[in-house]
Amino acid sequence: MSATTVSLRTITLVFITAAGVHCSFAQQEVPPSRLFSASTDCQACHNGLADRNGDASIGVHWRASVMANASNDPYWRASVQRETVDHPDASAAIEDKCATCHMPMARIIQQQNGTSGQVFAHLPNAFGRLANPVAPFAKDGVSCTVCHQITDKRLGTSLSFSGGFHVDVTQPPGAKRVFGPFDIEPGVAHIMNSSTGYTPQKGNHIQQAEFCATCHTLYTHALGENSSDMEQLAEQVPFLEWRHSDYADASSCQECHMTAADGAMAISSVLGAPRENVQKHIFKGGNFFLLSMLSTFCNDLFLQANTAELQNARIATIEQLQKNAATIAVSVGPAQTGDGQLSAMVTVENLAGHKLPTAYPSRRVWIHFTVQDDGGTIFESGRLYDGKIRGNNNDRDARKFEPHYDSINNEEQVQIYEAILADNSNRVTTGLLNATTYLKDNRITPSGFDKETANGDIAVKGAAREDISFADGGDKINYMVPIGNAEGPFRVTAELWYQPIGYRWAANLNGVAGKQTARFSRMYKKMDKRLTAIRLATATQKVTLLPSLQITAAERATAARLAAEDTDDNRQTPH
Amino acid sequence: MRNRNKTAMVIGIAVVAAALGLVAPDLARTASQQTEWNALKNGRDIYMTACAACHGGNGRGNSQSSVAFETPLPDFSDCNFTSREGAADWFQIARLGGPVRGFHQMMPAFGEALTDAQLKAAVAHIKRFCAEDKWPDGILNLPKALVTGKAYPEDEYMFTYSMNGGSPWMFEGKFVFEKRIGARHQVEVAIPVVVKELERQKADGTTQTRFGEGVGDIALGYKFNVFHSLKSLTIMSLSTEVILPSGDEADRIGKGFFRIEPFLTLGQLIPALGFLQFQAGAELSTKPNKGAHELFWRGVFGHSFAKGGYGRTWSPMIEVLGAKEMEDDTKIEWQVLPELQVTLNQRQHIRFCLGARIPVTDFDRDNIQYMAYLLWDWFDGGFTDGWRGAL
Repeated sequence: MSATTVSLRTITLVFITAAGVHCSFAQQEVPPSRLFSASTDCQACHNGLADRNGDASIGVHWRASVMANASNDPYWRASVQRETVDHPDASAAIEDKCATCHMPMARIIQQQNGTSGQVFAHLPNAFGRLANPVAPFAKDGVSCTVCHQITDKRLGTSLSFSGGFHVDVTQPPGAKRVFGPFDIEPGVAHIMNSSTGYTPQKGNHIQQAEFCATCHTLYTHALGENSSDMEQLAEQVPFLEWRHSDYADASSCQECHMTAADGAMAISSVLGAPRENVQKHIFKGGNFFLLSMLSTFCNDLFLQANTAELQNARIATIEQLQKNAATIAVSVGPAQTGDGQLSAMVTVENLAGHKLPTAYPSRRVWIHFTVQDDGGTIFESGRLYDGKIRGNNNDRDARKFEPHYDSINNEEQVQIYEAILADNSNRVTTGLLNATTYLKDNRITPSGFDKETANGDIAVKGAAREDISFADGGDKINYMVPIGNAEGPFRVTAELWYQPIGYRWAANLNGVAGKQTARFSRMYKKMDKRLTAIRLATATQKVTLLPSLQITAAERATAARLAAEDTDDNRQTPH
Repeated sequence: MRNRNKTAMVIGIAVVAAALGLVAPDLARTASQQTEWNALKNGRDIYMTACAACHGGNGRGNSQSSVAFETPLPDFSDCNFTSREGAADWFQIARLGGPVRGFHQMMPAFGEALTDAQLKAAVAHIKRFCAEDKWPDGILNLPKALVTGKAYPEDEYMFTYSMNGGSPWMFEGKFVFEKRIGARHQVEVAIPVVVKELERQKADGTTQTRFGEGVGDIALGYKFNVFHSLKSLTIMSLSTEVILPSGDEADRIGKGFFRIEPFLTLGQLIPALGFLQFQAGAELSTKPNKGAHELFWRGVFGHSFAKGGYGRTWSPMIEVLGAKEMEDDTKIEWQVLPELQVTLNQRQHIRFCLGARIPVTDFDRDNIQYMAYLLWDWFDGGFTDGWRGAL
């Protein structure tokens, strides 16, 4: 036997062995399609639907939602990158944690294949090309076959929070179940199974708030030196806020955020019979600005939804916020020439079933208060300019923040309802994994929310805690407006504004090393800053000064009391 | 004791009543849905309820933004598409889903939701999207026999093989390309490649065996469908082939002169029994002194069956071939050709046929010719498409 023959045999053996090893590894990989289907497999049968108000296509609504674009969200991508830059040793864990709810299908697929969830490996390149077979499932965000495969296992328990939902990964396609609120006729169930491998099954848990709580109750653990675990922070807990309110017994998340269809409507365009009590998949949340960004950069982000669909979603979200989020009222006390001051009581009421704003701490609501006469504006607190709030310490200086007020008497003060995070040295931060506590949480509590009995995760923090007028679904602020010698008549206006991404939360990403942070900052810069915020509610009162010395002290006191009682009647919402 | 029983009974009734109260509305709803669909009889109504979500009310397929998936949808109003396959094939796909014919899983199986009658009515409605009668229906596209031509115009690649059993040994491979043009026309090119055993007389009187090989006489053909009827299940076409003297005459790989072959083909479906095909024509020589004119006639009878009506299709056939040179002292040459065609893949657009051409006149075992073809109906998909299905 020659040496050549031996070496040829050796090479052949090595090749065969290598091929065998490769095949055995390849066989161990769980193909994505064994666990999930892309939303594109579902939409054909769940589009082309309408209720009495027009198109109510489940697929069209969903793909233009923040849920569908959970992984396409440039702000989220930048925020994840910022955390990995701040805590490079924990990058893998950070990506895994964030992927849990923003790329849930991809993360479960990767878990099944023995790896942790990734974020950046799944993002499309500049031409929209996806780099790996898991990436399409990452891009699909919070998609049909993740939500509808969630079982009722451990729902409502703390184990289910922070993305602890349970999906049955053991069943092969064909035997997989998807849950929905209706009984499905067997023939139609077979149609669905033949086409997708999933059999629809009634599961009431999908309509419960506990279902949404799996991702919308998020605890983070601050990272200290060398990425060591520090305190836990309740980063976003709308479900816990809801559970501590009157709404817990009245309505679920789905009832408000998934608008009910007007009249009976089919849920499938294939042999779909009209059904009562259908909740549309429009998912009207709080982030209308993200929808503006997605709509503007729809092509750059290679989104499934088109610009018009995203604009429709944005409009619907804004309508919901302006209709159902809050009311504001203003009541001006009697004043006479020579007082040099107007006194106005502004009352805000939270109509939502959780704090206003809630969830991600970048959100803020504030009061824009003005007093005007024929000559122009005499007093103004809380004007929005270039995405910032005039007078807000935090927008001027990242180390500071605006306190909660019970009374405001100059233009440099502004009542902002927000969460201010701080690190373990009590320094203000927007770094989620630096944060160990809240220096301020005066987000307006929902009706029935008792701040005295609220636990630490949902507690009111800062000066609002001691403010007796900040309670049970609302707040009252007294504006003491210096008017000098002005004689009026005056127009006193109080507006409640809302901004999903506060200026500091966007600005702090600028300059952070990374492609995604740079991309978001570029996009943010290009956006019209007037689109960053909306007016939730407005109240106006016209005031005429009485001639001097016509009001006695007793009359003034009585009028003030009556005005306060009238506050409720004066509440207005914008049109 | 009696009171306790009574109480238990009352509680029991209450529990059952409550359970019925909770469950009954849903049961009633699903039952009423079923009733609604059962009531649908009109093909258009069934189509609009079950098919239009993807295929569109006009049959042209809804936009990708509507259906979301990327698999292109067919245009039912395109007769070139809709007429290609018979209603039975459409019915099976509607009943069992796309994978039954190697199509995408996105095409669902409606067989559990709709009755056979409803599915047939829906298919009939789909077929009506093609408003032009001039397109022969795919039901008349009968299995291709090894020799007898068929009347249905097709888009096919075919690789045929024939080999002599005895001596001299001969192998012919032929590549046939068929292209349908419009409703009734088809052009065709056939390029044979021949390898055959040749004997040469040497100067010393001994013989030497060698192999001749090369491209044979290339044929160019044209087919025109003159008649088709779904009522009588008949199809008839007229064809002409021009055979070029491209083969080497010395090695008898080619005949060395032009020939023209006009012929008629006829197909007749006989429900429950099978099918008949007939071809008759003449091969007209441009050099009668080198090769005589010839008349030929061919007939085939066969039957197709498939497991469950949708599985692999087997088509045993028998051909009878006759030919006679147009000269007084020649006799009719008869041959029979038993053969079997089988579909190789789920899509059924790749087929294989094997048979033996046996001379009846002057039978000689050595003259039995073994024949086969591999057929690829390329209109229905690429060669590698449609091999994997659900069945």
